[in-house]
Amino acid sequence: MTEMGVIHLLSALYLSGVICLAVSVNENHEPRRIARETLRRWAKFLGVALVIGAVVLIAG
Amino acid sequence: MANPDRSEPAHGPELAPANWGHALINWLVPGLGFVAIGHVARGVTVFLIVMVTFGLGLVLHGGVAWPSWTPAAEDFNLINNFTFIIQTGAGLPALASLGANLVHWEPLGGTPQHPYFDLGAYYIVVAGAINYFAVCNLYDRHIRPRAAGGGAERGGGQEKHA
Repeated sequence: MTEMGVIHLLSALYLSGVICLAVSVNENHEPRRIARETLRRWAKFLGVALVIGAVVLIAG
Repeated sequence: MANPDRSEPAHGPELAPANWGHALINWLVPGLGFVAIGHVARGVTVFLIVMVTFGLGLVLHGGVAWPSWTPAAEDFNLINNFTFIIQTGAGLPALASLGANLVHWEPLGGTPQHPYFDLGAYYIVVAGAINYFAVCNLYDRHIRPRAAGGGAERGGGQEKHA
């Protein structure tokens, strides 16, 4: 994988995580709940992204 | 019917009354509006999220660029205009980057010719959007209820508590 590819992949991980964190911080007050909801959202997001990636890979 | 999970907590820190000034300073300095009304942890968290993301955008040579606003112009691009509007959500850092871009100071204004410029600019879009959300959150939870006569909120309004 090229350097550009690695940076984009890491960016996808970071940006999706930080967006999930921001949404969870806006919706909750308890730190433990914020952490739990962030991880739940992030896992869901990455799962969907993986499925889309697999479909694109197979279809391509 | 109120969702019990989103109900107002029975107890919490006393918060200072919020107004439009808090929304404005929260836009200019991400998180400062929350700190000003007493939500220190939330304000610091918002500040860190926005500034780290914005900083990574600068590291990737991104910046806030002034778009062309005239549809008749050759370089007019609606995406650039929307990107600019969301990027300015990051407040003072975004305005500083815009100023640096206009005087071609690359460390803060970005390097449009760099291969990572678009990715860096996207980080700044995300930073701006997160701060827009934070300002809207401040308005929804603390300014609007007060304006509607709901009185001062305690402990963060409609936040979920475990």
